[in-house]
Amino acid sequence: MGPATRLHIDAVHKAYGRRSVLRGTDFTVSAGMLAGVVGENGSGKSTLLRIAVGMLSPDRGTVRRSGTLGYCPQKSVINDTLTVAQHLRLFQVAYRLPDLHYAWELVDLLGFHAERRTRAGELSGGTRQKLNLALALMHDPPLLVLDEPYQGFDWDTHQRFWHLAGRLRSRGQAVVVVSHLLHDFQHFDSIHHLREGRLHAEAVTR
Amino acid sequence: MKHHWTAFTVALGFTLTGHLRNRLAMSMTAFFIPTWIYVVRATALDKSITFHTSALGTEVTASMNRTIQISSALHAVTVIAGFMMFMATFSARDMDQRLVLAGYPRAHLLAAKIVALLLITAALTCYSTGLLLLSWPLAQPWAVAAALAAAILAYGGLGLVAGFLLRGELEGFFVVVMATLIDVGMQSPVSNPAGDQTGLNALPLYGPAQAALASAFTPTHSLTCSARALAWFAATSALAALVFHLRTRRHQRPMPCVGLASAPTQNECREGDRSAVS
Repeated sequence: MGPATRLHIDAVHKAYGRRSVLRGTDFTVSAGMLAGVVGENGSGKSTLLRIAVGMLSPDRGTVRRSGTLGYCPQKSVINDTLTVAQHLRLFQVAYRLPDLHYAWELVDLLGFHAERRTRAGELSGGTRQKLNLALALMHDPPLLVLDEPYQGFDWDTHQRFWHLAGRLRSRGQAVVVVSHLLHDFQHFDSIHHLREGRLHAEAVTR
Repeated sequence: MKHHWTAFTVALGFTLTGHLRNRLAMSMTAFFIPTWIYVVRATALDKSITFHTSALGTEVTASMNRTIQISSALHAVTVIAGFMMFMATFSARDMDQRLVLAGYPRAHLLAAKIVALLLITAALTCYSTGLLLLSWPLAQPWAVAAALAAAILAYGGLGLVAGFLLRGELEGFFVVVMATLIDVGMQSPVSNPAGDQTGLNALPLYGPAQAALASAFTPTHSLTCSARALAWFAATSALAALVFHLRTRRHQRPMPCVGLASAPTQNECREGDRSAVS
């Protein structure tokens, strides 16, 4: 492992009833690394990420993290009755942030500043996902775990997301992204294919 | 200390905002309660009936029309309180889990929900008691208000628990409507003149219904009778706290960095032990 390991998953097993999803999965992410996790639908990518962030308990194996982390779930987890600004205020309290300058920068970057007073229930699918992502990034954590964070993004925002991910990596942050899109693979430093409950490293082609 | 206060007030403010943006509940409050009471007043039979309140041990003689108005007010406020608490809890529960994992103090989130219920109770109680006072001068308006408040708290608590436990909006609405329908029906001296069935006194509205009926027409003291519903409020709040705790617990805390092949700095290890997840 490198000098600054942010996430280390060792021999993690997880089953839902008789259906075994993870069978001894190992995964390590270091600072300044942009890692891709790929795999077929239902292969266990989201389960692996939920275990990585502590939302789900593995049946066996260990998870070690260092530093705060930001987690962007696959399905937007927001409150439809609250506006964009109210979401930022709630998470400002949760993260104990002194101000929201960086959060609003992210909102600008992702291109939904005009929706700051709009209730989440009235946002388009893509904008809901932008808010979902902004809530994971707004405290600028050293480890980011993003589960298909750009679903519903238009092409420009999709490109801006990868530009942002690259910027975070160059600042020394560790970024894990679940992706299905072949043309995204060029952005990764390492690609890990989840197959039959285990992660297999794949060659990166740029 | 300031952070705790901020966490509570922000959560309370946004919880109340969520309630106020529940258009169906607001519409039901504005139109459903007065319409229901007015329709009963205008159409229900206005003959005198005598019934026994087993909880208070008194006989009450009153107009059937007014008796049904009391039952209708109880039904309306309990449906609305249960529905409001269910919807607010149900629609925010995934977000609450995310907030807690991000570092939001969960006690403050839960306290905000319960304080919001107390404020809703105060508002609904004043409103519904005022509407009943437009029909006739209640014998003990404050005691009727106390009975309505106790009923609202009991069903608000049930709505809170249902919001954490049930899987769909339709399920929650159905449970609230059916529970109040059965409870009000069983406690009404018109639909259930005997009112002495085994187990009836275990239902949430047993105390408030009898207290409201007695206080509306007689000078009988009924506050302790109303307070029976507070046991339901306390039990449902405690259950809600337990379910909320289980739903928002972190399944695996980061392990200490000691033992990693290349351990991060001490500072990073400390951060890892209280890592925030969004």
